[in-house]
Amino acid sequence: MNTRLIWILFAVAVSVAFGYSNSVQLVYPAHFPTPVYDLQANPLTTSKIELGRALFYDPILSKDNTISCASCHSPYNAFAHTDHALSHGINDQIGTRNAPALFNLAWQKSFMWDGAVHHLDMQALAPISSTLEMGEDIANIVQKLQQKSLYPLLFEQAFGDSTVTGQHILQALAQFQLTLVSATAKYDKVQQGLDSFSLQEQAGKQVFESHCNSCHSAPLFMNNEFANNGLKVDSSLQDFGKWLVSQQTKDSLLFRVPSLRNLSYSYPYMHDGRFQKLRQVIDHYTQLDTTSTLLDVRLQQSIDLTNRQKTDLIAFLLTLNDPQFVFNPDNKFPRAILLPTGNE
Amino acid sequence: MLSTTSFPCFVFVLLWSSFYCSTSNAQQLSIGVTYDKQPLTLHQKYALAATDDSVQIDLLKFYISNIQLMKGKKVVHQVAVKHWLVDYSDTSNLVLNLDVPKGICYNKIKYNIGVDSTTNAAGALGQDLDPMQGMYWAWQSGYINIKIEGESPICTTRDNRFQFHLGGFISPYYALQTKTLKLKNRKEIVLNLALDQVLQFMDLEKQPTIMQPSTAAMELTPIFSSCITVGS
Repeated sequence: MNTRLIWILFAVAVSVAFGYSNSVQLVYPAHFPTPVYDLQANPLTTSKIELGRALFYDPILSKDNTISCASCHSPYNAFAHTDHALSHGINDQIGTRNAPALFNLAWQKSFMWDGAVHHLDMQALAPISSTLEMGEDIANIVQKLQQKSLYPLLFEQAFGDSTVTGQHILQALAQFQLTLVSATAKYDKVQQGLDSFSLQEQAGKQVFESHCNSCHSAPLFMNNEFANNGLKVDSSLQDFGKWLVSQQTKDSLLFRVPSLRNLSYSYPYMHDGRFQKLRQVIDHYTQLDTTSTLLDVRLQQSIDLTNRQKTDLIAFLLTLNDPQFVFNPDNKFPRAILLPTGNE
Repeated sequence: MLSTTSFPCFVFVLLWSSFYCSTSNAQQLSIGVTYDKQPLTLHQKYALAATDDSVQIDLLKFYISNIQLMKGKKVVHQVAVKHWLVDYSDTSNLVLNLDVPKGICYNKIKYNIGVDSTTNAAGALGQDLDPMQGMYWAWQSGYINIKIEGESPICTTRDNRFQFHLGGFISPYYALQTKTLKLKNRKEIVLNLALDQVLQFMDLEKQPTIMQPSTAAMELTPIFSSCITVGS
């Protein structure tokens, strides 16, 4: 038995013997709203979060054990996939959408670019079962995890039951993702009176509040809505967004309004990753055909910005970068669990 | 002609005989599935009505939920198991103990076919609702209420397969079906699904696949539900 297992067994024994409660609170600043996620239904504990973290980084969740959640959701990219316009899956397959950044998910009402998933617990099933992504079946994952020496112990520690279930896998994955809170950007520090904007950032903030904030609403810089932002349909993808889920005309070409936090780490942008640079995104909005009736009503008034204003706007958007979150060691690959000494 | 003294007794006997009163807590609900009035055998070829083709069923699973026993309009017993996944491939799974307290009298059973919207919108759930049961749509949220899969030469799909995954919990495709059936006066409750009757409403040639909440799913689900009757 290796050192890792001994330590896990010891931790389990201590937890059981002393009724050790490892419950934790979701930490977020006062200028954030109340989370949408029902934390009472799935109370956070250290052991569940750590199990979820191990699962998130373990490629055992894919059919051929090569692709983990982190393959497309890298911590250093704010849990997006920098440089990759579309998601990568097993056998070098390319998906149909840009892997979104993962943070502040406790405040998100639905998931995926088209909102097809209504609960964070169930979100992981989508990439797991997609043949273009992880190509695996949750029932098969249960079997694979049960056969490993590591996981029954981690499940015992987290749920008091060494039997692996789909429910517990999904709850643990959700717990780890709930802890991915990005709330320590310069913007947040300004809100807390700990910092101040430069003149350029302040000017950019005014541009932002005039033209962007109605959809990308502070402090989360998203609004849990879906909108047609005027992007032409990519002929190779034929992606009509929310319509693919609802089959209702009113939902054609509606895509999630993403958060604008951590943009420096999470390029390329848009649901199909068509824009590499923030400047391209801003140019898209200033060059919209505002006569289109399909366009979101909030965009049907032209946005005219000088080059100076565009630069100011970008300066403000960069205050939403959160390096403290991106480089938080608590969110990284759990080396001690998945690659302990001697197993490398 | 009944005498004035015997009439109340006659009414009493009539009322009494229309209910079953439990004598123990061993009441069970059994599920039967028939094809042409014979018990369905999975993977066996059957004649497909109105065609010269055959059909075989390889998978049949569906949820029965919120089971209640009623006396008239009054609910007299709520079955503790909220969601029961009936998997026809597992014979041990076709009987549910209802745990009816002794002395409870009932003459109807009320239940849902499918999973209600509140449960659908909840997070990860366990036991029969665990997504590892293969009844959760992964690419979108929601449980599959009914899964019927098989093959028939009439299907022009790969391997002549047909797949019906019926569900949906959001309007206009909220597919949950609620049924109330009058029971026979006996201890064991048997619900029988006449699957051949369901297949009569499936156009296996033109629409061999339903895999998402849709108008087609909304049309087929009540038909499936109506083909369940109290068996003998």
